[in-house]
Amino acid sequence: MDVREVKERVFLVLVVILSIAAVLPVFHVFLSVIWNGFGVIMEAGPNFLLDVPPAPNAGLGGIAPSLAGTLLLAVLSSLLGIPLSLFAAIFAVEFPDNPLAKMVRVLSKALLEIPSVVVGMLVYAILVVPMGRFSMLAGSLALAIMMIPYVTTYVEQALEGVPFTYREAGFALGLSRPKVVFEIMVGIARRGILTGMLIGFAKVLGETAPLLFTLGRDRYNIPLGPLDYGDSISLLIFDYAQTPYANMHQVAWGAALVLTVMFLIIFLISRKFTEEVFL
Amino acid sequence: MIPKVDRGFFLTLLPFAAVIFALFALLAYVLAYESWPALERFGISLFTENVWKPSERGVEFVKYGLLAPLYGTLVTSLIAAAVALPLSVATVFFMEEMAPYRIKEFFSSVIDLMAGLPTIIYGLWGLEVMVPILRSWVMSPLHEHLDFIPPFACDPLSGASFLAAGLLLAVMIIPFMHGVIKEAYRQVPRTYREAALSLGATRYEYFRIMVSLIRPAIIAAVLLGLGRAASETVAVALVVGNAFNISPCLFAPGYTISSLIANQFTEASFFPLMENVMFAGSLVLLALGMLFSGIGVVMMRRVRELYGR
Amino acid sequence: MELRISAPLLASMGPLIFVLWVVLGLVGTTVQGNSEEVSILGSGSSFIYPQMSIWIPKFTEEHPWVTLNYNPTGSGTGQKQFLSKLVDFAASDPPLTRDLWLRYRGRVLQMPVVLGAVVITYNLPVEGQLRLDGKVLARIYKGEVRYWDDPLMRELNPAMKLPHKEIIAVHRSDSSGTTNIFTFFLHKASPRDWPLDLVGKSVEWPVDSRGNGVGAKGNQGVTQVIMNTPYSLGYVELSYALENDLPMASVRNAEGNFVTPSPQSITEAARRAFPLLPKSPLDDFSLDLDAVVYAPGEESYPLTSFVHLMFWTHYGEKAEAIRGFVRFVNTEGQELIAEGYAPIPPELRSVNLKAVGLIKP
Repeated sequence: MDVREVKERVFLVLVVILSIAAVLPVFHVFLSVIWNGFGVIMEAGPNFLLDVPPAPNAGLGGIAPSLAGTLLLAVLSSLLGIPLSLFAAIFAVEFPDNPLAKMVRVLSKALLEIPSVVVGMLVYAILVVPMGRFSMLAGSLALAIMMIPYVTTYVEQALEGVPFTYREAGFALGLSRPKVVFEIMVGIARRGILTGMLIGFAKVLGETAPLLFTLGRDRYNIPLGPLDYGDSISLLIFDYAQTPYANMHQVAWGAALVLTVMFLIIFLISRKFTEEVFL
Repeated sequence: MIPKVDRGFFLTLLPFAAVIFALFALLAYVLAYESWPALERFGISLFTENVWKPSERGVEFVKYGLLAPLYGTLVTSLIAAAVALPLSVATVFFMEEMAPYRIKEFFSSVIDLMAGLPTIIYGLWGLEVMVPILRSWVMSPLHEHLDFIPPFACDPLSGASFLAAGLLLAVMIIPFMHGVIKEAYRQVPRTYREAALSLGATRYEYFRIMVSLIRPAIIAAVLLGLGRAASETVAVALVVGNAFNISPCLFAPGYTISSLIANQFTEASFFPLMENVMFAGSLVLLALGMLFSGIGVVMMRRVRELYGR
Repeated sequence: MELRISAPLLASMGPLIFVLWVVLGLVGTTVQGNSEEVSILGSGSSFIYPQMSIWIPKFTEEHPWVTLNYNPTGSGTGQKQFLSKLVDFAASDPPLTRDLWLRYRGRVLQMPVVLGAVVITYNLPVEGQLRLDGKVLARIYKGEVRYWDDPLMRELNPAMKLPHKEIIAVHRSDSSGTTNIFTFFLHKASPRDWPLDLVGKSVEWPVDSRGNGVGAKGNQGVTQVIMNTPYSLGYVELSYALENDLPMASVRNAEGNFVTPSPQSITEAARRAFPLLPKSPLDDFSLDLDAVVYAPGEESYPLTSFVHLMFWTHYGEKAEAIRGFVRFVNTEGQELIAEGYAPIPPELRSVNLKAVGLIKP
């Protein structure tokens, strides 16, 4: 065996090992969450989703208000964040040489570099203080800001992945620019775009720091209106992991399992959906 | 200049872009406005000294210097990028060139999962699972046998440390860096690849050619990954140890700018200037982030231009 | 032309629905304005949070027309939000400073409602309960007492077989009321070893520069470091030591007795401090820690602290609900104290109850 061949073998083995090493931790995360959370949910039963949280050392209770808050917040922030990000990304991709579009691209990525807690502080300064109260409105605005960089990045990537010939074909058929973009480009790139929306949705589902100073942490009532105080599962985990009480740690792990399952369900549904459409 | 036919389309999309501009202007304004008192008082020493002397007695008693959190931000992000880079490159090559279709699909799903998994879950796992494992299986053995090497010189007390934060961040930024590199990799024209293979290159040689072709994208991935790592808040706050510490030892606890804010902002209003100092810290992060992201975008553009799209 | 495009129309529905939700919500709130429901929000101390989560469900069960929420943002934020009227009441470990109290004098009510204690816990594979005093603790945290078998340590613990190992001194890395109590105690018990400069919520620990100090975030962080690190010692809130079955040192009090933290010894400290406390919720409480830390009394635990609630004197239509809450906290609330806290002595309850008459619509 010559040196070239040895190098080749070592290289191939290394690539496989490194690839496995890259994804292994996330499996460990899942196993840990299931391992620690499953028993809690079994013990608490369906009430875990229907009840309010326990007092210290007083059973397991449930996480109903936080669960409802998380879902509502994710939906509300998506209503704002997804269209905004989608159109901004199309703008950036469609006019690549325009200075404004270049700025949009840089700025929407730069949002990623801002600590999420600062987004919460910003909303606190511009909305919570003037309104005089924490609210679901403030929380969902903070989350809408959080999702912009994720969704735009994925949408941009997806649109740029569409071969140029499709676009040419569209124009050759005499379609207008908006038609080419919305019906051909978006259609072809829809898998990537949906993945981006999904990741944006999942991101806000689990965000913690932007909510610290915006939401109000009402763990005993289900929020509905824009002025209601709310809670999220992530805030509950963050707070309960730092209490000394064993039952609250258990609730935190149970809540982590619920959050993970919610994330997985949305992920799998859209995967299924896009695969059928795309392949 | 926008062609006339496209002008309507341009103007329809413009408001959405304007929202992003407005958001950013507001953010920059609030950060600058809130940082100013601290910058005015401490000047450059705010970033070159390691002091944390809050006092409730009055503004003349306080002294702050953010060097330790800056150092921690740098070290943890560098560890994260250094660990995540080979892993991301390997996964791209593995998925694009080696893996059978089903395995490739599986990997791609897993990486998307990693990208979307809530950070609080990573944090909980990092705190309660990863740190204890790391401490007993990695840090303690390294310290016992190799304590003459400065990065391993200190006793891993709780396990919460620069290393723990760096590794947790590496796991969290892999999907992000993977995405950037994959995008560039796919843009290398087929002819280049075929040319390399037709010369009889082994896959190792082929890999080296491909890497040299997408070098700007790899730099972009590192920069974007660094920025991403520096801005992570909750997960890092749980595992970095939170001590004002500038130590070459990776097992020592430290601080990052964002974990400092997460930890201390709630009590900051007791102390004169402390909130302002934290805003100043986030202003630095913002500036760094924009710089990294700007260079990253330029690099990615170069890849696109190289391959004529 | 754009009207024929369905994708952007569809996407624009999102923001429209959002705006609709906000408008309907605002209108709904205005219309509902006259209903009997009252919503109260408090924020502040995270230390009192577990106690609040016992009080709140019980209180709202008895007052179904009140929605009461508590947001553990930290004492500093709580005070700030309370003073800017963002929340209806605050819970804070430290009372208002004298300056702030002067500014809001006559309008603000303060009351200590529950007692906490800072305990000294340690990880030492040796039988017996450790005995400590302010002097040796101050010297440990200055890095001057470095070994467990230091002569000062052996003098206090003649019966224990102390090893010749370095003491790892664990402290909070974040700003906290716990650190304030601990350093204040060190100063009061041994002013020569622990100057006033080193008292506060966040201090520069001399022991860190000797390489024997470790910072950890939150009570939880300190607890974890101590559990994981043999030969370490640190200070945490009582509840954390109890929950994790950590050993607790007995600490020498002002009368020279070694006292173990317990609800009795903690309440006793507040009872003996009572003569020095303000006699009306309208008064300045800024020096009450001075009274209760290192309090007189043979059975008093020296590292005792208060958590305060802060209210306004005027509340409009919320006044009745607030009065009810004050009454509840100072009567049956004191029978529902979470593990790790201690009830306030009866003398103090009657002072606090004066607030009921002071709260006006």
